[in-house]
Amino acid sequence: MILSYKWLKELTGATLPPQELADALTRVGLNVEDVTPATNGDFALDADITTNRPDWLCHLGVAHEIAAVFNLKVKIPAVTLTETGPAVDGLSSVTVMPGAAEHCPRYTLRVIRGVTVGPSPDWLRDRLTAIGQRSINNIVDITNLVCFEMNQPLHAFDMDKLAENRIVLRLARPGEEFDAITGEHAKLEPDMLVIADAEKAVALAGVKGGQNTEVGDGTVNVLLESAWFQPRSVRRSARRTRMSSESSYRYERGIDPGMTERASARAVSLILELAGGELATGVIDTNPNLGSPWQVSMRFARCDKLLGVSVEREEVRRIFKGLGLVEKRLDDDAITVEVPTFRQDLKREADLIEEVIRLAGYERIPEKITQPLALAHEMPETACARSIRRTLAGLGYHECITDSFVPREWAESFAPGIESYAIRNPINAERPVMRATLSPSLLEIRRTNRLQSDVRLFEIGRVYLRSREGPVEYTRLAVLDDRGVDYVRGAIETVCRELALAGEIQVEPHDDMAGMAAGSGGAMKMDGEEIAVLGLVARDQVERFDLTLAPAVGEAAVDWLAHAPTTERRYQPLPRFPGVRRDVSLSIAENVLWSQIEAVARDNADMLDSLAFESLYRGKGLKPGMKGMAFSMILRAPDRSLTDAEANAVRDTVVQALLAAFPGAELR
Amino acid sequence: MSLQDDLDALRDDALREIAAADSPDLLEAVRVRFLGRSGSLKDLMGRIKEVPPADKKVVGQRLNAVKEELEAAWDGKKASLADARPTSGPLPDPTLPGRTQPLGTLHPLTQAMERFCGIFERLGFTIRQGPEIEDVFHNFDALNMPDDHPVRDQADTFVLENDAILRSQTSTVQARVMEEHVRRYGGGKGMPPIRIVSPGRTYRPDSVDATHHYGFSQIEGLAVDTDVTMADLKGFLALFARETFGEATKTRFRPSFFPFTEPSAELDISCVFCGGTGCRVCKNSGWVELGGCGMVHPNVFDVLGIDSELFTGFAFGFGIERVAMFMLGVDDIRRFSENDLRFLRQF
Repeated sequence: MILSYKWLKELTGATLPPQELADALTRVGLNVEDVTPATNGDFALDADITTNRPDWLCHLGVAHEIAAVFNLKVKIPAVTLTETGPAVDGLSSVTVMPGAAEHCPRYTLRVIRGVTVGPSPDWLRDRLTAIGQRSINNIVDITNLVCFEMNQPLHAFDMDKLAENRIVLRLARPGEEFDAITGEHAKLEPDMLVIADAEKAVALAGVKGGQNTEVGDGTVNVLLESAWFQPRSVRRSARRTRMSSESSYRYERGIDPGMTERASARAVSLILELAGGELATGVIDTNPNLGSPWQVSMRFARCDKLLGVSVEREEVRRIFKGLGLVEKRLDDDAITVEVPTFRQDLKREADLIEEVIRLAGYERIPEKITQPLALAHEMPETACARSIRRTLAGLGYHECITDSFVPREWAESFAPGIESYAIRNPINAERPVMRATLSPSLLEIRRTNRLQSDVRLFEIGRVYLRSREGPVEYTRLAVLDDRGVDYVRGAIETVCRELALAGEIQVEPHDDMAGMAAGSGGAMKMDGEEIAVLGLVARDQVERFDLTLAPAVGEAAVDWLAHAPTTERRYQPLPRFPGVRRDVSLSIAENVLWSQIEAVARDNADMLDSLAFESLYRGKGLKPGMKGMAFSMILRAPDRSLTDAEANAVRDTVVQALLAAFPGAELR
Repeated sequence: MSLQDDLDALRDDALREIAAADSPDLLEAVRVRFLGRSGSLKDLMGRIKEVPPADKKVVGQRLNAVKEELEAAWDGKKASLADARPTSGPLPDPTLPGRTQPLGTLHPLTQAMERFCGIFERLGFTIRQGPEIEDVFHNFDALNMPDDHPVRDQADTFVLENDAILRSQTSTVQARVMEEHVRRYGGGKGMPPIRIVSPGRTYRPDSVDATHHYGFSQIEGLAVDTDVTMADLKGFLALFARETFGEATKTRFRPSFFPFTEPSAELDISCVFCGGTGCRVCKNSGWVELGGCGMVHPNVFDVLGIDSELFTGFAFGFGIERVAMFMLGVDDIRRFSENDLRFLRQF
């Protein structure tokens, strides 16, 4: 909204320089973002008006605010009505059809006959130019001027173009179409209010006037509309027809229902002055009583309590008076005021309290905490995510934050069978669905970093799935590591260890996992519950993401980890006697898994303190179809140092058991 | 010669020889001779019997002092011999870079979020999360944004289906936490206070450019109790601003409008770059807008079933990307979602 500095000055007599006036307005919540010089020594104040203050969408409304701040008096523009013509109801009429009244609680019209349409005088052109409006002709310019002055959209019809010279308020007919004055064309819907004549729609109520009845050079008789349309009705019409205007912008926000007739009178007075003509006697008004003021009370104690600062009652009274709130009752503990109809935003006590501190100045509120100490809890999901982040950053992984919207194909490749949520109004056509899995997002980031080597990434983020009860969101951890699946597994295991989870992790090989190379995938399980999946990215996906190598990825269920049973960390007495290490190195068939070897070894090792995988070897010195595997054991007795002979005996037992369990296996 | 004189002579000899010893073996020989179990200092200590009783104390102290002095000199020499560069073999290069495991990094937005959340946690605010896929009630109606009202223009949303939309602000979590609170405790007398912050992702159908993205994060705070005031709000936010941007940071409230608060305010902080004198970052105003705040609108309490006569509350919120960009000097919001390692490693 552009405000003219000169215009405001005229209405208030304020003498401040433009920038100071702008700053003063900003301080009371009318945010002036820019002050620029305009024509003829005027300045344009570019104001950002919040939706609660439609009364600031005109110069008179802003003038009221300036008057309140600087204790000035607003000069209301003069209105001189000389009604010399015949009675208006003999010339025209307004018919309200069933269902129309709720969309249009008040409609007024006046008729001026014999006008001379022509260019506007300089002062009027300048005024409109200063606020960024184009001059059209004297009649149209006057309706615009009054709109920006009093916030009342007006519409002038060429009366001779109205069939039977009369107005009908009705809902649009099925299939009815409308050509706006601006050249736009709209298909109307049956719950839209139109202004019609005896035959056709001549305006989409509150939004735009029609081409067919436009005031032009040949216009002699003018019918002037000033109405109060229901905000939501105008909003719907404007949105559905995708037409908006200065008029619809104002109606949507709610204009002053008390201004309808006054604005019409002001416009007519200017028309008589600038375009001549004869004004018909009287006004047609469907509801002269619309918009009576209402009363709101404020308790002084409540005001002080909400603000945390005391504002003297005399100051409160002064502020309300300046704002045009009429004091109706004053008690020891409360004040009741009548709210003028242009302040539609003042409905409750809290609204008045805001007015008090807005005008008294927000700087009056002290920085003073009176709230008692409170203990903040750390929710499990917060604690879990923090622990994971700490652990993985410590292990050299870089955290990513990626888009929740993804290409449809990603979901199809990595989460087949899951129907992703599609976005009805996507902003990026290439990413039309909500992600159902996190891994592809990290592959995309791997591509971004194509020139880097040894890349390790992770993300904690949400996936969005359907359930019978509606949408569900799960928090997932995705890990990507160039070095291989065992590193991803190690990362997730370390995360679990740091979370002190009570369960044991097992990995079950999974032959056919979506997006993963055949045989490389596995499911990590804890006490039978699947907590993560992992694998080496399949060749076709490596190509899709344009990577030079196949990274390993894993995805874990953070919600599960956050609520999984944990072990309490308790002191274990330190061993009193040293452990003895024994290593075993086997040549064993390719199809034997480490987990099988480990199980046999653990079952047969007496006095086993710990057992660790050492190495996997493939190559020279092995028979075809065999691989080398080595592990170490620490053996320990609680009550003595083990002798070499004892340790060797345990080792021999384990070796015998392994050779027996896996035919073809040999010691290396 | 008196015991005193002998002691002085011994001290001088021993110090000279300790200084002269240039190998561990020689140094050890010096120790045996002067400080050993049958060394000369021990001999002198045996002669304390000769001293008249009146002087015994002084002489004893003197003996001990010399002993400590010699031991310290000997230890020092020992250490310096051990430190000596080897006379053969490769020379060490202390300017070589240290060896370590490479650390990973947390995303700059996570770091910013953790920093902000951490401050509010220390002030007693519990972190609460909520769904990103929301219904119209929690995203609009419960926040005093009625259907068909222009306030909804400021918060256009992505639509999934039926009633499911993507939340356009984290204030939805406010609504959900209050709702849960009322379910548990009732919204009247005896309802325990609420003090939460909700960090999270939000969505608005904005075209992407250097300062806009359709997916962004916010942090939102809420405190509800029987006598929460706007002075409390100002107090908490001033503490937050000083802890985040430095002790000298000033805060200012400007009247504003948000449907779910009344009175509402914009929170400005004094520009951290120029200290308030005016610069390019603050467009010469000396102030930078941080976010919005205000006292919970009684309509919000009414809709959620909290007694708006008994309870008052404050709420605040701001965008993480914007503040992080400002603090880190990042000039393009897209850097955050790009995840270029060369960018991530900077933080």
